[in-house]
Amino acid sequence: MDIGTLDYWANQRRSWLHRASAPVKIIWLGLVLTAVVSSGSLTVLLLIYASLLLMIASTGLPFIQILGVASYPVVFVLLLVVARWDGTWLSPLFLLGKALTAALAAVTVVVTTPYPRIFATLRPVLPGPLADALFLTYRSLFLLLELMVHLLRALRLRGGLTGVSYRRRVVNLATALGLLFIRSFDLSQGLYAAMHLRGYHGYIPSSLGLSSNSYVNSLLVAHGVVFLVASVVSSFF
Amino acid sequence: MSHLHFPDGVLPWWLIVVGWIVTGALLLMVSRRLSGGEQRRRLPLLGVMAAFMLVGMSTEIVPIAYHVNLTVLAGIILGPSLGFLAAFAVNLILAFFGHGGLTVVGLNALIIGAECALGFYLFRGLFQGLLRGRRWVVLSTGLVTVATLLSSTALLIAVVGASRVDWAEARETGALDTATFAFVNPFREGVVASELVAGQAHQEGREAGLSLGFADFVKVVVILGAFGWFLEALVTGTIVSLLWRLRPELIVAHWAGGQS
Repeated sequence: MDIGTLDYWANQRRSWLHRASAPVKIIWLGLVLTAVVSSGSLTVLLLIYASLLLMIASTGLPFIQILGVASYPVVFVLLLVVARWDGTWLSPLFLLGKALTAALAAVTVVVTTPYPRIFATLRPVLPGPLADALFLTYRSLFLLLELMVHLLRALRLRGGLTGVSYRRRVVNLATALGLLFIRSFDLSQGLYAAMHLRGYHGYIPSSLGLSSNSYVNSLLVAHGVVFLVASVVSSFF
Repeated sequence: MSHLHFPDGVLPWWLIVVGWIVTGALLLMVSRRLSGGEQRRRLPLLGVMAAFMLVGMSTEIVPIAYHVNLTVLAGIILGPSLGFLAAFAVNLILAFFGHGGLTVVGLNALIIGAECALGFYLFRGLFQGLLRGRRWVVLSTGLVTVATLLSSTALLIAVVGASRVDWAEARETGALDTATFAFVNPFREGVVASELVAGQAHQEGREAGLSLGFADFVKVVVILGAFGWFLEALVTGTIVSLLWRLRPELIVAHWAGGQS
């Protein structure tokens, strides 16, 4: 799960999905998730999944890599299937369909929407300190990832990850993480000092970005509504 | 992996709503405590710790999703309240990557947040009380980590048990007969007969003795999880040992005036 790559696709790549506004994409995501979670129909789930695959394919983004990221729930779902498996193949397929469809919808949003805009959209419904914490986490994450890459490279060059026992490797990696944490703590001190100098009083201003394409917004909402209705209707007919 | 992240669509609505209500109440409580200037000062540390947890979770030590969570470390450094906020932030961000469901962020955050809180209290109790001193840091942290992750696994198993969802019956079984309020498969016969939309197949599976149950789930989760617990114990113990040598003030920051 290369968070940096996903962030790059969201910020630097352009597609018709990137032109939809962040609030509309969050609403769309809510509609699709509701449709998926409440669906009792495998057919509807497969249709939603297929439509999401088409959307991703049409954006020109790396299809296989995105599918790989969105397939992460497979391991967890298979474990949960063990709890209630009835001996048929349909039940696991149904569960997998729900988890994978929901994951693909979420990943579709995150690879076409910069994270700060997602946080800015969610800010009205989140407690203030939590919203600020999300922005600070995002800011710190890429600094830490870069530090981690340098640390791992230094560890490899010094033979800390090869030619030693597995336990030693884990200890070396843990020591590297510990050093990374100490650097992180110093980073957080500097971050607070900078925020204080810039007049931070408990609120980080955020922007939802430039204006979006209303046609794309309408298309997304229509897509979400159609499948939500299909999920509900399929329960009765 | 030392615990599961619930995906979307596998738990009943009532459980999801309960998870959100409890998480929402805890978030409001914790946020009120952060309204003071001194507490706001610690927000950058929270952001950095949450980012650190994300870095840990994206570093696979063993394939098939084995990664460290560093939740116990977060609890020790941040305390239970800020640790819970960090757990929620991490779960929300991970959910957008498909690592855990968005509808179940509340439940996932409760489990991870419980690890932070329990890790803090157990470590403070053990390290302050019984196993004091530098040479006991790794052992006490390791014991605390294993105990905490065992407890959170028990909580997760309880949630799965409480869901009591029979997924074979939850999937499509046909149209609702409004006269009898029973589900009847409209495709059970005729030219459009199809097993894909039939709900009766699960009965045949059970009769064939192929089903698995809750006990099997518990066995699998505990066996797979145990490897992760000890791995995480080793990693967390090493990190805390290093911190105790170089920056002990980071560990004891909350002990004097109570937790934050």
